[in-house]
Amino acid sequence: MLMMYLSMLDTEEDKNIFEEFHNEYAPLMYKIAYGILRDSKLAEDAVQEGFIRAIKYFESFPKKKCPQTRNKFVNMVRCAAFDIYRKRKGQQADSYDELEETIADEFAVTDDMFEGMEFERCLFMLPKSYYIILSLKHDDGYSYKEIAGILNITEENVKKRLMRARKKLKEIINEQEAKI
Amino acid sequence: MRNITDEELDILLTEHMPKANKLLNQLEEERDKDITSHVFSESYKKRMKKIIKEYSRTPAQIKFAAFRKYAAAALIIFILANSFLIITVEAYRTRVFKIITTIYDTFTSIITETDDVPFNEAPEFTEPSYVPDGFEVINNINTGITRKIDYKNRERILVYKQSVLTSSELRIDTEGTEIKEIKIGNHIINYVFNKGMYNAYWFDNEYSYLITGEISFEELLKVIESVVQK
Repeated sequence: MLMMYLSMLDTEEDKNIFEEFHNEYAPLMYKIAYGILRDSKLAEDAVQEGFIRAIKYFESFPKKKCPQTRNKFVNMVRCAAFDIYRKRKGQQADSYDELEETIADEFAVTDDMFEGMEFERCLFMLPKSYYIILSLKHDDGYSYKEIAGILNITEENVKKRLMRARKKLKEIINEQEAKI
Repeated sequence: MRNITDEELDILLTEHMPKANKLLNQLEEERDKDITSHVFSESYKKRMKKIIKEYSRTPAQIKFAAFRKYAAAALIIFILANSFLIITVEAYRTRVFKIITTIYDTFTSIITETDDVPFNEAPEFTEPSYVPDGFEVINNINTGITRKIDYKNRERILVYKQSVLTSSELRIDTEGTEIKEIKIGNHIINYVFNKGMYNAYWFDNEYSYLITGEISFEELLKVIESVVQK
């Protein structure tokens, strides 16, 4: 399967850029993976898996080092690390996500961090898998099919998870408005 | 308080998701600032070197490597499909048997052990009276203790194998999956779907049966029924 993805990158330029990107972003990707997994070996696995997933959709990557490229690699490694984390906790990729940890839980964020950023606060209160899928859709602009490939779930499950994520986000927004 | 519409939510997400990711990056940087610079393991370097090397191949090299992998996969399928033949001649024509199934991480081993009671009659082999549309026989082998029929439909394969029960081992790739059971007629059929292919096997007092195929579950059941009914 990897062969097939690699064959998609058939220009010399793409190949050199990929190696450059690896050298540039692997240390950062490792840190993010380690922050999630707290295990060196697993973090390396996540970085490798992140690069393999990036190859699949490399066409959509900017071919230069810039914040957008960085974000795309970061998102890939987050997805890969999160998959490994879920597997180790015995959760299925398509299991019910409501009880997952949120980003707000993980970073113990305080209210003053969100001054003037109420919507961002609501996003951080989503279960992580919901946050990730919304990010892939609305920041990276991937299609359902591409998201399915990145997250290793079916297209049907992508649609279901996106629907649940949006529903949950609406609930959080309503709760936050009610508090005000 | 009013409910936010889907259109409004789309607009908000498009505007704020990048900002939220920027904030998340800052939080991660702060969290990870004490993580010392990592020296990747030799194993990681080796694996990534291989990936990047694959990446640097010409399309012709990639095609050749893919062909080699295809050939290796075909060989593995051939060996799996013929694993019932790995037997001793002394064990031929026996019928009292026991089955030992052991599940490992990457495969399941099914061992049949038989005693030395001889078979009095010549083996009677059957064959599926149903195969899915488009499948045609490309091999039909009868070794005296095994009947094996290979079918093909373009790139899809279907293999039917019936063997006289002997002491042997069958290994099925069950990595990440599990073997399930279904009752058809008086037989308990064991089946597993993995890597785009069904494997189904069962036993009666005299024979073992194995069906391997890139077919749907419904088609698999029909093939099994057409054998069992005979």
